[in-house]
Amino acid sequence: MGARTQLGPNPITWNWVTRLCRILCLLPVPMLAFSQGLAADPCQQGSQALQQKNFVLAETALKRCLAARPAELRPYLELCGLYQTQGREGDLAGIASEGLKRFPGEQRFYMTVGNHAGRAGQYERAVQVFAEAHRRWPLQKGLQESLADAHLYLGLRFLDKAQNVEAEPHLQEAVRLAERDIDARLNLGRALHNLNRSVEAIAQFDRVIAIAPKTPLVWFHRGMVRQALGELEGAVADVSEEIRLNPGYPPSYLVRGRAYFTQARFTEALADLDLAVKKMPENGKAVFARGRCLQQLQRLSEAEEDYRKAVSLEPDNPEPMNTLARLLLLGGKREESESLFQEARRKSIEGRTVKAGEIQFASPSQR
Amino acid sequence: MAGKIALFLSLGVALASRLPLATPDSPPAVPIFLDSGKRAGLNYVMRSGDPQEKRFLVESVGGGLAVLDYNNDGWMDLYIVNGGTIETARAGPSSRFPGALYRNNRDGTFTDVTQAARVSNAYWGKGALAFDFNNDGLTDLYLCNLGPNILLRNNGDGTFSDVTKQAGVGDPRWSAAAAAADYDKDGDMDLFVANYLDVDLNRLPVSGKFCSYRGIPVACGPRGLKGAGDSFYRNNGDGTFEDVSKAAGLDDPLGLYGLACAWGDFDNDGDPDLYVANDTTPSLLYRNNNDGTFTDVALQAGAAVSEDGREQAGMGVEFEDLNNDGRLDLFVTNFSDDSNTLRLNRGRSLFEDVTVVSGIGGEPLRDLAWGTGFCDFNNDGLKDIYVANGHIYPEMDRYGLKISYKQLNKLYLNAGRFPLLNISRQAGPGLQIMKSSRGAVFADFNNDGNVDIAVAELDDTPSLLMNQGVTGHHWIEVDLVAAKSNRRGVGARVSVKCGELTQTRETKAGGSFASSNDPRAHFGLGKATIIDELTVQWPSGKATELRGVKSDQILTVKE
Repeated sequence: MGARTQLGPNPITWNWVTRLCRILCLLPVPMLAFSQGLAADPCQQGSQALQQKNFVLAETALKRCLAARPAELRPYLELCGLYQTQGREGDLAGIASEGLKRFPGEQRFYMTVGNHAGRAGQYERAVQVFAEAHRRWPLQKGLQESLADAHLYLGLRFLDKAQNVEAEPHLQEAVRLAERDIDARLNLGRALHNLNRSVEAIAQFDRVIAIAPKTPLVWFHRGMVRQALGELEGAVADVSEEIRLNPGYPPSYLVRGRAYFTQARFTEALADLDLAVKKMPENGKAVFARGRCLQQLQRLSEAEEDYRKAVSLEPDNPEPMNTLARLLLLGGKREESESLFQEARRKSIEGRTVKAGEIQFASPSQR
Repeated sequence: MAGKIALFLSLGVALASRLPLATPDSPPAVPIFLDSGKRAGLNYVMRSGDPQEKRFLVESVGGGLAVLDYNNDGWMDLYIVNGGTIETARAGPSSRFPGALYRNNRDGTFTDVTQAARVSNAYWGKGALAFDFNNDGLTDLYLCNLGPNILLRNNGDGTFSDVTKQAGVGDPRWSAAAAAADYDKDGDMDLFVANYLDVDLNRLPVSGKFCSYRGIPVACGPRGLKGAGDSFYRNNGDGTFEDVSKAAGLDDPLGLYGLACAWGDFDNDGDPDLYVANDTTPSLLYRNNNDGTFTDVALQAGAAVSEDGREQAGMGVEFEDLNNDGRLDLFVTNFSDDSNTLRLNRGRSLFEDVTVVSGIGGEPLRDLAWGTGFCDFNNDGLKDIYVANGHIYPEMDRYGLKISYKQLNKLYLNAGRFPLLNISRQAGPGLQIMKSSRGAVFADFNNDGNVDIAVAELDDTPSLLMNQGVTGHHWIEVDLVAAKSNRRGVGARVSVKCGELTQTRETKAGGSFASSNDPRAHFGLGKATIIDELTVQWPSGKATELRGVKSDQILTVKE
């Protein structure tokens, strides 16, 4: 999946420069003259310096103003404008955060803080901020979309780390908030499939296909889920469509090859698996699948070679070990076969053993 | 080297020819099944915990049935395992879930004789085995329980007596299934018990690793939980047994999760071998060494894991000759998200996984399969395959996963070639029942020559699928009475030759899932009305040959 553009600048992101100009332009000239006379007032001094683009003086004065009159909104706004003019993201985020704490009814601060958090990869913070903003202004489309984005990025982060349980609720929320967001749906489908909630996954992929049938990888993902469910005709059809649209994606050939294999279409399976291995030579699953196909076609020495490679690529997986061991046994290599069977057994026992505390026990209550 | 090349070549030739099974009958006749359970009076509900929620595996695994002619009137009766709940099991022996023995009234109905026969089970029943342990010509019952197993001796007067203590076969663990055979060929039946988990009902797994399925919290296990070893009892011939589990090498010290077992002479060397299907752990194929011991050869034989090296669920087993080549083949039923596994016996102690080419592997993977059997349901001379399905997690229905808790059972017709034909939709209303099925037994309940099916349904009454038969197809059933061999001739190889077709069946005690079938050997004969040659190879080594046997009869053959 390609990376989406980062959160912001959102079309309705509060543009502090624009606002700042408005503030300054609204100030009448006599007021300016009067303000010059009150130069000792840091708030006035700050505004004045800002207007004169004396940013150093403005920042100093506005900070003094904040310290002296923390309950005033204007110095926060003016400092935001100043920092944005100067491109000082961090300071902008800082003052906006302060402003958010003090003026929770001020939408502008939510946008600034939320967008900054998103750009900085602090997606949890972005979710927190936009969720509160959405709660306050539920009809604001922009806030809703920003919240959807925040959930999507947070979900993607979990998904990329294979933390599917954590990813799923965020992706669900992204879809709920932005019904036609195909990125969100596609990745929600991925998370659901990873959680073996295959039928729910297919529903998401179905929706993406309905909205945008040429979305890259959606046919692949739906085909992969269908293959896992044993719906082989559907799997082949879907992955074939993906290959038609997107012939350069290697996992498609692996999935279709496996589906062909399970249908006993070994020649077609081998063609796909050959391609898969060529494009992904270090993918243990592809190499193993091709080995099985070669064995079915009685090309046993090639099958052995593939099994050996699969074992070396996935040294903790007992399955290719067992399969290689059996092939070696049939070929008369008994000693090596026995040794592999033993190793596979050890790996298998490791895989089903739990450490202390991994399963909790209780005395069941009466019903 | 030449031998090894020859071995490769033989496997290759078999594959290249797509494994022809027998002379095909075209088009294959489809048998029709009607469910007569309620009308027949089979109204015992096999209760197992809460029907809506199975918090623990002990509630969801369920049990089986046993077919036996307990009153020796020539009509098969039916025993249904009882079930239970955690609460009653914790409280100790209880009469709340007694199980049920149904006497066949010979008119399509059955009568519950549980109390009269004194076969009530006080523990949580899981499996049932019918066999004549004392060679008195009366079929006894062995009940596998969560708790002490029970051996009920048939008194011959319509009642049974609990002789567990004297016999010494009261394995106290969670016993899933049992099977009997004369392993040492001394003329009496020895007893193997497959045990599943080491369970403490006061300390059950509630959460953690291996406690979810498809993201849904479900009953924990079996992975991560402590397995129970198996038991093997040698019959002393005097009403007692000796526990020789360890001495024989059948004790399963690793504690694999045994769920199903069946005896069969897979290497055709004249003594019974044993297959144990283990759940999510490697299955075991014990070769009888003919010296009182066994060796596990499952991995080498290709019978331990799937063809791609995976440990499968191993819920039920059939160990019979599917393709009429005189060698016992293996069929093991598995969990959802996996296919059932069919392995053909290629000789030289090797099995070939033909799941994919048989068409079994291409089925959708939503079924969770249990009881199974190879029977010739349309009497065309080719054995077909029946599979009982039902999920273990009732929660499935609440999550819209399109995997239902109650499932349809399946019937695969053997038309003499691969792929096998899934004719479930055409086989009548008996195959359209959605229940959470477990054990399945195969018997000719109305002695009409058609194999019927009884299915144990979790938290429901059993299904009794009466086979309406196929016009124009003939049959024979062979009932064995041994003299030197064990009394029922269990382990005998019965062969029937009609023209060019020779069929073989090995008589058994125990198989499918937690169940025990009609002991008579049934053969469909197609259009043949005369059997050229009928041979019985007895466990004692003797052979009986009959020629010109008429079809359409239940033939008693004496050793």
